[in-house]
Order: sequence, then C-alpha cells, then structure tokens
Amino acid sequence: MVLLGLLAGPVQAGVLAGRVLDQASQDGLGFASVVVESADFRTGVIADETGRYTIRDLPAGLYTLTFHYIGYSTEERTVLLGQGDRAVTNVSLAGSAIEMETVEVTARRFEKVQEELSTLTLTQDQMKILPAFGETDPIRTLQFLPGVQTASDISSGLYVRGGGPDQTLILLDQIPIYNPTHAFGLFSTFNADAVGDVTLYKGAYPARYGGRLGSVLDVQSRNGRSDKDGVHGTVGLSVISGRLSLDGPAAGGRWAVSARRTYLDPVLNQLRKSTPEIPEYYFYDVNTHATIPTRGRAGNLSVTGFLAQDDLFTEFDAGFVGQRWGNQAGAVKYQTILGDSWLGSVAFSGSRYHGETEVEFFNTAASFSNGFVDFATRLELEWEGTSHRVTSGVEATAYQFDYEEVFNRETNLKLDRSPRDLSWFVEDSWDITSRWTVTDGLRMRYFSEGDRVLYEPRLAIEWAATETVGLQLAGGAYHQYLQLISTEGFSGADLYVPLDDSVDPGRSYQTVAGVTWDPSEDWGFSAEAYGTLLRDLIVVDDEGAGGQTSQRIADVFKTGGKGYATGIELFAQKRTGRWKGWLGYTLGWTRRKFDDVNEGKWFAPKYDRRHDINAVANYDAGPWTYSAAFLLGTGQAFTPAAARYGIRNPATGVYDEEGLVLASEKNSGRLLPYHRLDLSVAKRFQAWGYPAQWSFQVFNAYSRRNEWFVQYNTEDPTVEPEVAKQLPIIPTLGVSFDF
Amino acid sequence: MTSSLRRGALVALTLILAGCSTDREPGDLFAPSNEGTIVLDAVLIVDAPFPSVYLSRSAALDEDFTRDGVAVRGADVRIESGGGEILVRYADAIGPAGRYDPAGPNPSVLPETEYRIRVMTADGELVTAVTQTPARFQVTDWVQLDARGEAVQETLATVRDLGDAVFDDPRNRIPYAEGLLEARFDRPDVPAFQVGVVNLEEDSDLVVDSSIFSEEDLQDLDRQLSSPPLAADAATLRLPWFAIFYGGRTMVRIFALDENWYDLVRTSPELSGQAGAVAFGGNLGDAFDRPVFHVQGGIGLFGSASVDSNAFFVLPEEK
Repeated sequence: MVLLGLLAGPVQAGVLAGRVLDQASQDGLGFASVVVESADFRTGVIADETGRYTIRDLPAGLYTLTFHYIGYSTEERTVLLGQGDRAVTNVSLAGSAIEMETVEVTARRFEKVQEELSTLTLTQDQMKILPAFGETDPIRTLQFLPGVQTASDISSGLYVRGGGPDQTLILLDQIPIYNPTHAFGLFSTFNADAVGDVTLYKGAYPARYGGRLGSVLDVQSRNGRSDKDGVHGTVGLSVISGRLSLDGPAAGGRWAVSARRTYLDPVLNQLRKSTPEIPEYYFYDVNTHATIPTRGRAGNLSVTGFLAQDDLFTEFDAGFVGQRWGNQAGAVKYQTILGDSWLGSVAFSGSRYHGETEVEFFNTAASFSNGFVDFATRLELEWEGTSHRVTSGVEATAYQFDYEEVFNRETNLKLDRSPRDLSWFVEDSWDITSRWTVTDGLRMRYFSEGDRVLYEPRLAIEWAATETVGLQLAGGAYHQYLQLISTEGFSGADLYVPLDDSVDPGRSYQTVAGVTWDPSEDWGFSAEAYGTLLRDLIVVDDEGAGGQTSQRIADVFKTGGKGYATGIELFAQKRTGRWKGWLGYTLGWTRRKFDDVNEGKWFAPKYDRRHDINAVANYDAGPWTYSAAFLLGTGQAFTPAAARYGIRNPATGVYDEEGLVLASEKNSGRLLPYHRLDLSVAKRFQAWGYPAQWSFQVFNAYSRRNEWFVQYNTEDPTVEPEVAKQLPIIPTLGVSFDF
Repeated sequence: MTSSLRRGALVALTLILAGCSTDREPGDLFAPSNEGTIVLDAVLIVDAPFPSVYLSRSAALDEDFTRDGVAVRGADVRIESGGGEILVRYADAIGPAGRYDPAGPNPSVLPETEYRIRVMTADGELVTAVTQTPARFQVTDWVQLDARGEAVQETLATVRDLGDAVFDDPRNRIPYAEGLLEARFDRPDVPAFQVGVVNLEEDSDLVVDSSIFSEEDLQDLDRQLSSPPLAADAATLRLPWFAIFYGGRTMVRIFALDENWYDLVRTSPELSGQAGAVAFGGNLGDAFDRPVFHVQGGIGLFGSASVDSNAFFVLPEEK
C-alpha cells in the first residue's frame, strides 16, 4: 500500500495537515482548534485526540493557519499551498499562564466523544462532570458510552461489544496494567485527578496496539499545568478517600503527583471492637508524571510512575483471611523530532502485579499467590510525507509469571514461566485523495512459548462523502496470549496466565463499518455495525480435580472455544451550548461454544445484551453544573433451574432428603432489564480566595433494585428462588479545593 | 416547556417509576420443567458384591419433594458384562426409596472390567449406562507428619492388619489438629480420587471449639463428609483437619474413581462435600451448570471405584 501510494499521481485539491503538540511534553494536544484563512476563505477543524488535523479540498493559495488550545499560547503559520499539494505543518504550543474558567474548558472538551470509527475519548473534564459513585472513576464512567457494559454495580470490569474483561488491554501511558481495581472491583485504580484523557478503542484497533482479542483502553496521565508561577494542587475529599494532587514546573518542563487513600481505618477499628469479624481494609494509589524538554525543545523526556495497593485482613474464631494485591508500574520515554518529517521515540517500561491470599480455617491452611512482571522496550519512528504518514515500531517484552497454590502445607501447583514477546508493527495512513484515506497496517508477533510467529493485518478506509458525512470501514486480525482468570465478585484474586504450546492462542477477526454525520458544530450523529469472530477461546476449568499439578495450560483450561459478537450502535451527541449530552443505542448478539460446556451447544455469555441505551445530559448554569446519566439494558443471561432430583453422595452413601437442583441449559434465562438513573449537581465557588467545588451525587436515583444473581434454596419442600439485588440509591458528597 | 411536553415527561416518569419494581413470581425464575426424568443411582466397588440400585424421577421445582414421592417401582433392572451376558438380575423395588437389590447369585465386581446397566421401566422407558471399573487400589502407608508437613512422626496401624483393634493402638489415637495425616500409595491410572470421612460414633463430643458455632450451625455439622475430586498427582493425599468436627472413631475411605463418578462429582459441588449447598444462577460466577451424566435415557450415576480405607481415634486437642 505504501508503494502504491508513492506511485500514485498528484491529486487536484490541496490538503493542509499536521499535528498540534504541547511544546514542553511534545504530546499531541487533542481537540486543539485549527482555523484556516485566505483572502476569500475561512474554515476550521478540531484536531483528533492525538492532536492531528487534516483540512481537505483546498484550492491553491496562501493560507494563514491559527492554532488555539485552552491554556496555551496561540500560534500562527502562513502556508503557500500549490495545486494538489499536501502541506504538513506541525506546531508546538507553549503553555500559557492565563487562568481559564473551567466551564470554558468543559464546553470545548465536550465536543468530540467519538472522533474516529469505534473510538471513544473522554477527557478529564468530561469525566468529572458525569455522575459518579462516590468519586469520579475513569473506568466506570465508560459504561455511559454505547457498546460498553459493566457486569454489575460492584464491578468495574469492562465488557466491550460482547467481549469479557480479559479481552480489553488496559494501558497507562503505554504500560499494561494487569488488575486496575480497588475494593474487589468496586472502584478502578485510576485516580481521576491523575488522568488526562481516556481513549477506548472498542474494536478493529490499529496496528500499534496488540495482545488482546477485543479492545484497548488507553489511559493518559495528566500533564502538570503549564503555569510557571509555582506549585499548584488540588485537595479532595469524598466518602471513599482523601486525595491530593500537586503539579508544577521543573527544568523547563512539568511534573504532577497525585495520591489518594481510603480513610475508613478508624471507623473499621471502632466497629471491630464490638464485631471482630469486621475486616481491616485500606487501599491507596499514587500516580506521578513528569515531562522535561531537551535539545532546545526538539525532544522531551517523560517519566510515569504508578503504584496501587489493596490490603485486607479478617480474623474470626475459626481462622483468618488475608489478602493483598497491587500494581507497580513505571516508564521512561524519550521522544524527539528527527527532522522536518521524522519523529522518533524510545520507551522503557515495567509493570508488576502481585496478588496473595492466605486463609486458615479449622487448623487447615491454604494460600494462593500470583506474580506477573513485564519489562518492555519500545522503539517507534514516524514519518510524514505529502500523502502518507507512516509509523513503525518494535516492542520487546519479557514476562515473568509465577503462581503457587498451597493447601494443607502441601504445594499443589507451582507455575513459573518467563515467556518473551517480540512485536513489530507498521501503519501507513495514506490520503489517496482529499476525500479518501486508507490506513493499512501489519503487526507481526513472535511469542517464545511454542515458538510461534503470528501475523495480524489491519485495515481502515475512510471516505468523506460530503462536508458533513463520512463513511468508514475497518477490520483486522488479533491474537491473545495472556489469559485472565477472574471472579466477577472478587477481583482481588485476578490472575493472569501466559498460554503455553499446549494450546493455540485466542484469535479474533473484527470488522466494523460506520457512518458519521456532523450537520453543524452543535450536533453529531454516527451509526456503526460490528462483527467479531472468535476462535481458540479458553476458559478456566473450575470443574477439574483439585490439587492437580500439571503445568500444561490444556490441563488447566477448557480449550477450543468459539464465539461471535455482532451488532449495531447508534450515537447522537449535542456538543455545545448550555445543554450538552448524548444518546446511544446498541443492538447486539454474543454467543460462545465449548465442547465441554453446555453439552457442546452454543450459549449466550452472561453479558450478552440485546438492547442497551445510554443517555447523558449536562446543563451548565454559571457556577452550577447539573448532570444526569441513564442506562437501560436487557437483563443479563443466567442459568435457571429446571427440576429437583435425588441421588446419594457416592463417597458417603448419604442421601440428601432435600434433593439437588437440576440446572437447565446454560444461560437460557434472563434477569429483569437493568436500568438506573444517576444524578449530580456541582457548584464552583471561592474558598479563602482559591477555586473550590462541592458536588452532590446520587447513584441510582430512583433506587431500582436491579437483579444481580439468582440462588435456589432447597431447604423448603418446594425450591425457593431468591434474587440477590444490586445496589440501592446511594447519595454521596464530595468537595475539592484548588490552590 | 409546553403543556404537552410536560404531560409527556410526566407519562415517561410514571412509566420509569412503574418499572422500578423488581418483584416477580418465583416461577418466573424457573426454566421449563425437566420433571419425570429417570434418575439412576448405582456405584460398583471393586472386589465388593454388586450393589443396590436406586431409581427415581426428577420432580417439578414447585412441588413437594420426598424420596418416597419420586421413587420408581416395577422396573426391570439388570447388570450385564461388556459382552452382553447378564451377570446380576434385580428384584422389584423394596421400601419407599426405589431400591432394587440383587436377586440370586451376586458375584464380586472385578477390576478393569466393563459393566453395563439396563433398566426398563413399567412404562417402557429404557435407561442404560456403562462403566469401566478401575484397577485395584491400595494405600501403602498411612502416616502422621509434623505440622509443617515435612517429617514423618508416626506410621499408623491399619484396619487391614488389626481390625477394630486399630482404635486402641497408640499410633492411631491422634489429638485433633496435631500434625498432618497423609496417605501414600502407588497411583493407579484413574482420573481422580475422592475421600470420604465418617465418624463412627453416634454422640461423641465436638473437637472443634463449639463456641464459634451458632445453634443452627451445630445442627448442620455432619459426621460424614466427602472431598471434592482430587488429582493426587504426587500419589499422596492429605486429610484436612477441617473435615473433622467430632472426636472418637473415625474412618477414612479413599476412592479411585472411574470416569462416570469423576465427571458427576466434579460438576456437582453438592456431591463433593457441599450437600445442601445453595445453587447459584446469574452473574456472580458461573458455578451453576448442568452436571455431566453418562446415562442414556435418564440422568444420575452408574459409576465405579476401587477403594482402600483406614481408621483412627480422634482425641480432643491438646492445649
């Protein structure tokens, strides 16, 4: 495709393109505005989430480009555009000391949630005005977007377009985070104060990403503010935790540190005096990010650090339960301009996840521990020509995985593996004409377990049919080597396992087609259809014999699964004005099939959801901000009971007079539809001369007791089904101060 | 806002709030009933005579369940060799439980042999199943390890050598929770093992601290427990102390399982030490699934195992 592009003749209409960068960090300034003027012509565009912009269909002439970004200096460039030329203009904007009203940032940043096909971006400001459970959670807010679900009110695991949480790659500044949850999944480990933008690639993601069958969640650390007059900070309190964020200038660049910790300990300690079973529990997390310009601002060095930990201990008469889990991650990245058309970067990163559970019950001890470490090096080069933008990179990752299961002082299972993963990718974004763009890519992977080499082609085609209507088609092949073993209600025991040569890696083939219509600055509409085929899926075999010591993945998992997910998503967004918000609708089907599950028949996984509606509304009234978010979806699939029967325990000969419950076909029943309305109101004010804000949030405003799961009790003469409900209405209050 | 918009908003709000109720009829949470399915229950033990066979039917969930009420009587039951030779004929059901006992000669079950059961009900329903019995299985050593599980402190006497006198042998009089009890054996080629623990006393005292149990919990403490299926890849099995609640004479049986028995207990948590467990459906885990039955024309178990056992006397914990 690159070769074809180079051979292609000149196009008739001209194109202005380039990238808007932060001068200090050289990070792209997502959603910067670019205004183009000539003697008789004026138009403008909003850059994408990476700061790239393209203006097509321009006649030859002299143009003035003006680049704006809130909180940054404005830059102007003059460009002479020839007939059919493509002129590339990259600019770096310097941070400005001008204080901007938060409301203005909010209004601008609300403009583009869906920028590209199957790609959704939420900025920090957008996340913070959405209703939240206690405090803003970057992952939980994604459930308000079409195609994204969580399994329950207490889960922050993402189910994207029919894929499970294991099929979404979660990155923080390009570093994989393996268990981003606190409090068993109730909250994510991402502190909203420390997060800049969150981009979710729901499907058909580009070649620069890999390793998961479904989607990618790319979380960017917040850059420190560019003010040059010292250190700034935010202090926040919610019902969950206390938070402190600081940022300031350093060596011509910026740094930011954010930390939070639960403060329930004194309360739990008091409660424990009367009820010893009340657990000791806390969590904390710390985020750091710094950028330092080098080579006269032609390059920059960025450093990211992340630390999150949960600790639980419960002692009771018959024993104790102790559990700790946490992540540590860090990265150093150097990025530099290598010439007019070249940009290069090198990054080193490491990520560690460790989980440990110790239990003692009636003098019988058991423990489970899991460690997962990766060290990665990533080299990337980007070249931008007249009609091509080519990005290529190499990524080498070394993993260290260990798992140990000890029961009754006996080591039942001890796994220890050190696989290596070498990936190379190339992406070419080719503007064939001013209206047609093709982005083709290839990712090639070598995985040391089984000495496998895999090829993953990717393709995306965009056609700007008119000024306001665009059509897009994308697809690709994907593989997954790391398998997550997770229990929905207890994410603290999450476990990642690398596959070995006894099984094939999971495969998916994704296709997405979409149309966007932007009739005005105020409104945007889109429709997408997606289809995913899944092969060689595996699920943990929790029906195997206990204490088995085989280290082969084929002995630990049920293998050879198939699946598919297909559906359509409709999205409408009101971007500007006092009233803003969006409405999304998803119609979807998801199915799975394993030889050893459901007698080999197809079944709907529990997160199969036929209909899903997401509505968000936000109203700005001066210092007051009102928000509402509503979710409505088909009830989750569950396995209902079909009969009761009696059989003796073959090892004791005991016949349970209450009988046993016979399950029907897997997930052949449905819980009631899920719906929920969340509300929030926030007010900005001045406290001792500093900006501050309080917020009042109401989770599940009309206290819909959504169904969670069903249990069948056989103690009565007739079987009694009992439905466990999800969370009721929960109001919370929060306050934050900036200084 | 116009009055029509207000009315519309009011109607929408009413509809939403009306939808808040999540109460529904219990029967809505049942699948179409599987009642009336024949349930076969028979396990062959290598070197033991052929066992009784139990026949019953599954019942509707919203009907009272009693063992007598679901028993199947009047069926023709026979066990054949793999070649089709009739080995054991069964007499008509006796008692309320649908139990069929062997009629006439009753040979012992052979190891590594295929057996087929054939049931024809009075209504003409045919139920069949096949089992391949495992090889003979024998524990070579029953030992008591130190608390760290590293050194052998005592090798226990066996029932095989001493009979009932095993309970009086000092080696087999073990204080509760002292060390770790381990069985060592040559592992036969079976998919898994299951351990059954039976307290032979009728009213011995608890050896666990009774103060930690509620009255309701105390009533639920069984004298007969079983383990989940265990791989025992290292040809050892350790007895967890949490499987013992009562002092006195205690018997441990280790079953080497055939595929049918293994598949049923691995997919039926209630049959592996969790009798009366609540079955979960819905989205908290996926533990509630249909068990794997190897029965044609019905459900249940026609399985086999070879077994070895030993016994000891549990003394109160030494404080």
